[in-house]
Amino acid sequence: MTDGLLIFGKTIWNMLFIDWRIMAISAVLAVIVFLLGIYLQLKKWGEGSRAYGGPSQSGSVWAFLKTLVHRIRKESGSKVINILVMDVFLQRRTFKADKLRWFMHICILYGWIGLAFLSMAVTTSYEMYGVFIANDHEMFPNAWIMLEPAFDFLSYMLLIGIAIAFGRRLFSKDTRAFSDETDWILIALLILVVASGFYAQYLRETTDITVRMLTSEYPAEYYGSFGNSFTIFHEVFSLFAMVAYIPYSKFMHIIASPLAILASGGGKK
Amino acid sequence: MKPSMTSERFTAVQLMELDACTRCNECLNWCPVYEEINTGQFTPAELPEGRTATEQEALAYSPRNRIMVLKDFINKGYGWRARLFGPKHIPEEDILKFKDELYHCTTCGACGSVCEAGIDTVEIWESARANMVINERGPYGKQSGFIDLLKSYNVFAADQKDRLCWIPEDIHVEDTAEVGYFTGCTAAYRMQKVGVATVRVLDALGIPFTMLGEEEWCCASVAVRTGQLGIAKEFVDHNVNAAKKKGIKKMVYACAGCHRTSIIDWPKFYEGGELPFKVYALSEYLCELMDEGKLKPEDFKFKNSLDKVVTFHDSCHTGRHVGIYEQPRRILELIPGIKLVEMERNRSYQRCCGAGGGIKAGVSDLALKLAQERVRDAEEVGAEMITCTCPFCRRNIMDGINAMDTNVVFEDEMVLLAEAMGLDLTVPQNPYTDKNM
Ligand code: SF4
Ligand code: SF4
Repeated sequence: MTDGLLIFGKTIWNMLFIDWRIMAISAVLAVIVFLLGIYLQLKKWGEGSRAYGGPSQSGSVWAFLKTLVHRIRKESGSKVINILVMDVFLQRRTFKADKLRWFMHICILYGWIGLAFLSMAVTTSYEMYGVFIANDHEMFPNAWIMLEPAFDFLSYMLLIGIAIAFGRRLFSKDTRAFSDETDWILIALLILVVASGFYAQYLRETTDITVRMLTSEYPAEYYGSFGNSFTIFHEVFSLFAMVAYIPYSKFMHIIASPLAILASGGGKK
Repeated sequence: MKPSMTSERFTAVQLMELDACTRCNECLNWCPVYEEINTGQFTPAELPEGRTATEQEALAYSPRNRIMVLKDFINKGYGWRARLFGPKHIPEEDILKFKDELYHCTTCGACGSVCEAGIDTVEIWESARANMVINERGPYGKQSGFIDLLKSYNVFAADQKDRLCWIPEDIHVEDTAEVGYFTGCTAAYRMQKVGVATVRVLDALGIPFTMLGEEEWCCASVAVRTGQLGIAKEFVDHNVNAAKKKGIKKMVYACAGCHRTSIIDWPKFYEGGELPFKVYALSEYLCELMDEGKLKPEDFKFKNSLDKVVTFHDSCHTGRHVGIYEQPRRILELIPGIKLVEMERNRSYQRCCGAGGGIKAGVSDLALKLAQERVRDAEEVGAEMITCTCPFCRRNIMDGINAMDTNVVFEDEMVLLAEAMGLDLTVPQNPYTDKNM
């Protein structure tokens, strides 16, 4: 344990500051890369016309957004809510087509979104508030422990979803034939995020200092949330693979497909 | 540098839809063209002779791949790499290969109906075709002949003055009326029995109606489906203005192709985007009258029992594209003696007969194979007769029947209705009598 640093009038520990700094920079970078990608995608979509046969909107992001809103507003408010709940959140169209694929989608999507939001909530509230503002270094590890069942549940959901995606490609001839390297890269990314996540979580929660010391660059006496290069790797990798990479990859459908469903009034029946 | 494939004719939402594909592959389970190619029933002319398509070659003709290739082309011209480093060149042979794949599609819409991302695939195919035509890469094969034919304002290069030459003398066509009957080129020149049946039914039910006659030009479906949009606005404006002059408030159609084009495509070309009349499939109009109590089942005054096991083939155009599934069945169920059975693939899951999307003219052997599949669907459920509300499906399915050893026959729904009502379906002698199908 090194001497504390004085930041915003609070004393924090060096090792925590280094962790926090890496995470904060990574998160900001990931969000910037993500937003830049989204901006470029919106510009691409803005090359299209507002209505069929009309002139190009010359890559205007604003024009695209107006076109999209105009299309969505063709339906009544209650219908849009119905589409949002049934087709976007509950993926009714996939459910009708293939129950196993639906289950896989739901597991991956909600496992991933849930973990992302929970991590963000814990980091910003307990880590930022607890350590930096309330100066309570117990609050953060306690939060991790308290939320462990939720983290476990979401992680297992994600794991089951990935296992199904993997299994379908191993055992279904058709799915395998229709998959290409992009699918495999994405599955590999997900596996890496989940596997490293499980281990990182184990490291965070363990009180066994010897286990932590194996992977930790810094000595620490609190629960293993900080000063651990493996958990840092997991967090930084997840941010870049699962956030920044979205607009540049097949993951883009996670954003485009709900918008397409909304724009088409729930899709053709 | 200009992108090798431009975004012309694509709407902003369509460009977004290209990124929405989750590659779930559901569309592959329903695309009739992919099925024919993948099972070796049909081999595109572009593939080496003497063998069927490999799994990967067949995949190139699937809706999913078409979306992926199109997305890739657009990304090369406008994606993030193109924004940062300039558009990437796409070899012309790659674009032409894609064009061939794009035109091997009946625009049936099955892929769109099952698409998990809600992508309006048919509109994307048609925008892509229009893009191909603008850049002088499309259309495909004989489809380019449509524009020459349409110089005479109908697809048969027939005389417009003869548009109503088949109307029986005792049928009164109003000069102006609230209801208009849009005949379509096929019923006017090649399937006049369908036209006669339609006017007889309207007349017998006491529905006053008018027709555009010489002023009825082709609905422009063949041009729109194949991406040749140059003439579309002129044709649409002409027809809509002619209907306005006749005081038409409700236009009824016994041709699914004209119906779809009028309700979905005409507003895209007509100034202001809103037609001054409501567009109805004839069965839909009759059902509306019944629902309003203005028409009762007994008004049909049926005289004949048809005593047949009949199956209804939903045309892609009135079915999947417009969403009319139940009304034609309600009308059929009124007909005495008809036992209605459903084919396994019906309503939004229907299997396309293969006539649409320019396939009949562009890839006629594929159209024939698809028609035969549909006849087999009917045989499987023990149907003796297939009926439909589309003269174009009628023609293709009958070609399929003629090429097979089957007892299944085909009849148009309006003809069945008129026969059951005991109406005279004699088509008066006219210059097209010999050309009737
Ligand atoms: S519209 Fe029909 S033929 Fe064309 S790709 Fe879709 S399912 Fe296949
Ligand atoms: S059904 Fe739709 S989302 Fe699925 S592969 Fe086909 S086009 Fe893509």
